[in-house]
Amino acid sequence: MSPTLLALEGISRSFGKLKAVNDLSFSVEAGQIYGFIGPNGSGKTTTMRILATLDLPDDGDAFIHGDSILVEPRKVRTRIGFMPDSFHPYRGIDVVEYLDFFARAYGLRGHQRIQTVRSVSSFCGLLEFKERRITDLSKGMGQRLHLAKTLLHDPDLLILDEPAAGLDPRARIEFRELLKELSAHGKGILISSHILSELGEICDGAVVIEKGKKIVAGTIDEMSRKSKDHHRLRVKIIEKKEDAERFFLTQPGVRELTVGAEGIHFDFEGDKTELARLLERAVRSGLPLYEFHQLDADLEEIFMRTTEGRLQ
Amino acid sequence: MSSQDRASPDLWVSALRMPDQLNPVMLRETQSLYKGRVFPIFLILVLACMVLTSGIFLFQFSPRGATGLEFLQVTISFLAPILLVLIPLQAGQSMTQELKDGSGSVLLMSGLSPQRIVAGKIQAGLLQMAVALGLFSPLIAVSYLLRGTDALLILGIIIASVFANLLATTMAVAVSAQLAALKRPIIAALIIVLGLGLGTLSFLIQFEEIIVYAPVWTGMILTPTGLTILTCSYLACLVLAWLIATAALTHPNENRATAFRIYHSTVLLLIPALVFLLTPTKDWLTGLVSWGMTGAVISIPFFFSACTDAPGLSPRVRAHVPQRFPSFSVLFLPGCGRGLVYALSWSLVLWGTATLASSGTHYLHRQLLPYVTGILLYTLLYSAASCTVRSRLPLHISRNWITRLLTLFLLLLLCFVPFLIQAPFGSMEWNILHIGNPFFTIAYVGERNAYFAFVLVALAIVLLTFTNRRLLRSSWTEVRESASAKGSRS
Repeated sequence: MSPTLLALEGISRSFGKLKAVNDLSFSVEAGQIYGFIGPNGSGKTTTMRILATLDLPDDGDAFIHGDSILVEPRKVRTRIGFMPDSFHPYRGIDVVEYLDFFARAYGLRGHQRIQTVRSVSSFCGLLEFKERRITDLSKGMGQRLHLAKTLLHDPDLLILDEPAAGLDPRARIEFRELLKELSAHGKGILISSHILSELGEICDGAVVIEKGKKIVAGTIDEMSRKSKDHHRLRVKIIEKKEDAERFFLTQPGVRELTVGAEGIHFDFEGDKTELARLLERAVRSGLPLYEFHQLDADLEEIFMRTTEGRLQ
Repeated sequence: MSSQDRASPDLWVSALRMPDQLNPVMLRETQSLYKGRVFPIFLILVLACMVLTSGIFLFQFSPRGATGLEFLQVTISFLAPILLVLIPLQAGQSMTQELKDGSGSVLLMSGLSPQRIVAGKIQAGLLQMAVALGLFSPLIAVSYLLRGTDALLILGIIIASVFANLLATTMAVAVSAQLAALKRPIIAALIIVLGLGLGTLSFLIQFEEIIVYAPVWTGMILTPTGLTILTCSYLACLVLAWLIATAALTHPNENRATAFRIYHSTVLLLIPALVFLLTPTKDWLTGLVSWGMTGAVISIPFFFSACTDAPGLSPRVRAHVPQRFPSFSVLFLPGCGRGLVYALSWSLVLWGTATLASSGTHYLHRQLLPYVTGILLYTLLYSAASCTVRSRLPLHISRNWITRLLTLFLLLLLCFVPFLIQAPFGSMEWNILHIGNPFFTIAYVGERNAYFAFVLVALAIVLLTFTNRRLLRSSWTEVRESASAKGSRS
């Protein structure tokens, strides 16, 4: 069995008295997209820089395909592609020259270099901009170029720090599609973002951190299972909305109730038996229910539950 | 391959056809430079200098008295700032930019080594220098046609300019890389401009001297001894600047110390080798005293740097400790404990040689010994004190390189406290309170032969070494354990 693509083991990093990362452990398998979630200053970028071998942990280690980032940083670098949150284009050169420069830097030679620059440009939709100066590219195209550069050496793991920040909705969707395609090609992706709804659509799992500490980590399924006593429910009712609202508000385990055009939404804390009892009581109280629906948990919801809304 | 791509295959070829062997950084720098706004400005500046050169020559010198030599002097006066200030400054700025905006760290994630990145910057500077020399070549040719100068001198000046440009560019890149952490880049730029300006001025003065006293200089430089000393000194400066530049780009997990310790040892061994090779047997003793003196002075930054290294080996270096004879590698591996051992070993060698040479009859032999001893003792004292302080500082403070310099600075500042105590009494005589002051004490010992002061300093070194005994012991243990762990793994 091949080792896990990425495994963090008790990574810690301090800046003065501030513990930026505190005993952080999680793992990512090949072909998985993992969201790395946390508010500003929670230690996401520091962790990513450590994984990219650009910073040293005070304690702990991380392994890429079993190789330690501390002992074999050069080997590790050939297996990861790191896309920092800021893109600083070199002045005066165009898209092809930029990619060619990095292809040379990654040691690609001759025909292989030309072929790789061509295929990566094509994959990232940069062909029609190949002669454009990189300083003249739009933010979205700049991010595509940034990603293209990260893909040149065909890394197994992509570490993307806020790649969608500052992109317009269309560019975001396009970028998301690129990531899905990369994941389908077997690449592991660790992506940090603030936009949970966006991550929820592409991520197989997530790590939530706050003040450098892991709050929760795992695949979306695992986290949903862990929070099996949490249910997000939608109730639709023919009439007597106020009565229904009053009824549900007085029931044990009901939280965060909202009434809208699409019905009454609320969180319910309890197992399936308690959920059945709630439905039974609602019917018995004479409320004209015509729908009692349990909504699927998405990343945003899991995040809110696990952090109890403490994080942004 | 898309249809659009098939339609324009030449575009791909033209953009990517440069040979694989070229340094990518040099290629990018050159592309960036010649496609950007900097190159036209550079070109205009060079052309303006050429016009000024011709103008000054026509108006300042009467045609009757005009000689090629005077024309060459004016040409070089304009060429030198371009080669020795403008081009190195550009290379330095490019390095600062790279490190400041984080693109340097992205570069380091690729297969490019710090050495290759630095080489690329320097090669781009050399290309620019070739362009500038090419543009100035008509003026240089005119100076030959005007008579009064010979082809050998012109060739010598061009060769000297090329080597001076290489050294200035490497130094500018090194200083820029080290000062990139400064919050105000303008300060770094000013320091570099000042340094390069002074260097250029010195180059021009030397050039004038060579022209005026041509036979004397030719007799001094164009001899095997002169050329050997010149080449060795040049190479020593160039390699040191190179090491400093690459060290700034090296990842903290990598080994930075070994290259510096090997460099320092090589230079120290090279000096006596040159002394024995180039001087007659009767001057060997004097040569050895000079070696002790030079060695002691150049060792100051190396010993201090070695003794203020982080105490332990990084996991990467630990994994690469040689399996065979690991104890021999102790002196050259990073770590402040190992640095102290290194400093002590070399100090003993230098002092032993100076003592041996002091048996000579020449007055220098006896005069220089107190200075050699004093310099070595104080270098060791402050290195050992810095080692003690740094190994006891919390990790987050000691990691900062400014802390390393600040430690030394504070220690030296303490030397002046006794003056403040003495000032109210009106006495400025040396007394035991001044034992921490290297300048005052060395001068005092030199004048009065009061060697007891040095004995006290030596005792202080022993005491500091004793307080660091655990660090010293762990220096060996760590290396041996790393070697055996590597052996058991393999």
